Amino acid sequence: MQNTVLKIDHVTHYFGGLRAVSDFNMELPEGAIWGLIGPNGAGKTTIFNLITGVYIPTKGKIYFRQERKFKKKSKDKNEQKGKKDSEGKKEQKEERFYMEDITRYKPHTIVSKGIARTFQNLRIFPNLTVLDNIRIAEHFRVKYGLYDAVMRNKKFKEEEEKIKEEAIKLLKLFNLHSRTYSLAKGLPYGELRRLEIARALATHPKLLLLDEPAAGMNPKETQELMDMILWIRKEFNLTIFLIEHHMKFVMGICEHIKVMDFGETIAEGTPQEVSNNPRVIEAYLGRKKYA
Amino acid sequence: MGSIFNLQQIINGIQIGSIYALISIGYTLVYGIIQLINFAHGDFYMVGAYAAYFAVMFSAARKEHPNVLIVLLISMTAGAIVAFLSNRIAYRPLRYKPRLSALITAIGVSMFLEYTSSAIPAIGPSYRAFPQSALIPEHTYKIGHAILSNYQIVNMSVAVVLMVVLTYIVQYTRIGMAMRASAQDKDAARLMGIDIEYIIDFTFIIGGALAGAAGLLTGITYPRINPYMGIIPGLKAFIAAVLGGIGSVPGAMLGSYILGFSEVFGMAINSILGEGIAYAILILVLIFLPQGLLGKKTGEKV
Ligand SMILES: Nc1ncnc2c1ncn2[C@@H]1O[C@H](COP(=O)(O)OP(=O)(O)OP(=O)(O)O)[C@@H](O)[C@H]1O
Ligand SMILES: [Mg+2]
Repeated sequence: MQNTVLKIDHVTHYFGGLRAVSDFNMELPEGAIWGLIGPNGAGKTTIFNLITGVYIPTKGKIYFRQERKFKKKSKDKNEQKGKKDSEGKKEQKEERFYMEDITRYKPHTIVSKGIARTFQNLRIFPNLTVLDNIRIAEHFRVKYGLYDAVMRNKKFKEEEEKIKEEAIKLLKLFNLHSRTYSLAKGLPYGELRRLEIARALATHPKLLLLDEPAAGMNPKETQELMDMILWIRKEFNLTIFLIEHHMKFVMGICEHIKVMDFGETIAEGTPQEVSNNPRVIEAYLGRKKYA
Repeated sequence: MGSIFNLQQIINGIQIGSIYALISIGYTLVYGIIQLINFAHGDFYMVGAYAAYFAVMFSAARKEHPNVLIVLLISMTAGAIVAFLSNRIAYRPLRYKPRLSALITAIGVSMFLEYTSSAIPAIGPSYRAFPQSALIPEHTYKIGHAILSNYQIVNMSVAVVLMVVLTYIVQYTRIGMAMRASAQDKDAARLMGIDIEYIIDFTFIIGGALAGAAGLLTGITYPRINPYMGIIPGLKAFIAAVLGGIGSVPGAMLGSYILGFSEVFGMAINSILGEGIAYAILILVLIFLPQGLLGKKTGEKV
């Protein structure tokens, strides 16, 4: 049986009088790639903003799977000794993980829990270097204190060196290392898209949210992106939830798709099921006339 | 020309410019991150001047000689504390409210600080002489026809050291990087794990500390202080920040020195012209160079 990483439980969100999301439910299994589609203004990005703490839902709850941190290893062992029968062990195993209610957490806290995202409109820091765009995402993980930073001591230098090495490794993986010290604003669009994904990965997420990653890409770039997403899932042990208008992309990569229209979930299922669903066809074709 | 652009004027221009620069950096940093024109910023400078005043008086009463560095630290701490508290008490609750609310609140904070200070008996509404010679005995040096006092030397060198430290923090430290990222895109910064409120607190503390230092330096060079002393320099530092391009730290420094020189040279031609020149610059900049000298085009927000 697969573990649920993210659970969205009866979430409804209003902007003033506008119901942008109504009664959204989801249990996202670990390691999966799921898609979220729907016409413009359906409420897709709002779902991402709710998950990442930009908005607090008007109703409903959001849970994220967390590993319980045991304080001492020795204590852990003792507990295990105490429960020798297999049932006790099973209980122990189940207790290691729990679903944490993240509904009202601040965005930066949610990032530290392991959820990272990219944006529909690129949100790279234009006046930072490519390297600093990555380093900033590792910000909250630095282990030295203010004292170490002021003194510029060994601990500080080692930690900073480690972060830099890690950042450069990421840049190499995304074929951006020749740009390490350039200002991000000088990069071409395709590279910025890659940088944004690399930056999200630098926060060490368990769940990656991609908001229209293929927007503005040509068919060849789109194909490369698909390969890359499959590859990073494996390489970084990720669960991925993505929004995309590009049907071939979604159908080709997602195991399960949710379809929204006017805030409602109108269909969900495998790509096959969804693409044959009359309500989905109607929502798309009906809207295309005006687009 | 020789009578206007002489060494004395240059010294005076650098000195006034330095004071404006220390104040305007706080304006520009805060604006860069939360787009608030913090009209109370000039009053942080006043608080710094009074903190220094009391520190010097306290040591004088105990017949001790006050240490300049300690007094500087006290005025910077005082400026930082009022800045921090203003943010926490007055601005933070309005963070996601319309920007005008925070702006009006800033005017409220400014008046609160000015009138509360006047109401405190130990401060009072009238001018007090800053005990500068109890802090540092005066020396003057003649360079050609120009006179340079050690007060001016302290003033300029402290300002320059603080600006170098500030630039280092903003450009080369992790928190500085987070400040720059937050100024470029606050929402993206939050979603990259930056605790934006922590960065805003830090920004107010730095800006307040620099304004506090400017308060002490003013006390040393123009030794008259009162609770309203922050209004005009605050306004002029704001103009300097706009001239340099609000949001840009080098812009604030550049704008401040340009303003300082313009005032000194303008004053040499005609004293009324000198007083008004800052406002003329503001109007001209707003018409012809709304982004300021080093300002960036504001990117659209989505
Ligand atoms: N901050 C906001 N304030 C008010 N209304 C908003 C806000 N954000 C989104 N909306 C509205 O909520 C609805 C859903 O928006 P959302 O951005 O989630 O759509 P979307 O499905 O991502 O669309 P697109 O495909 O165009 O990106 C839209 O009607 C939008 O105008
Ligand atoms: Mg969207």
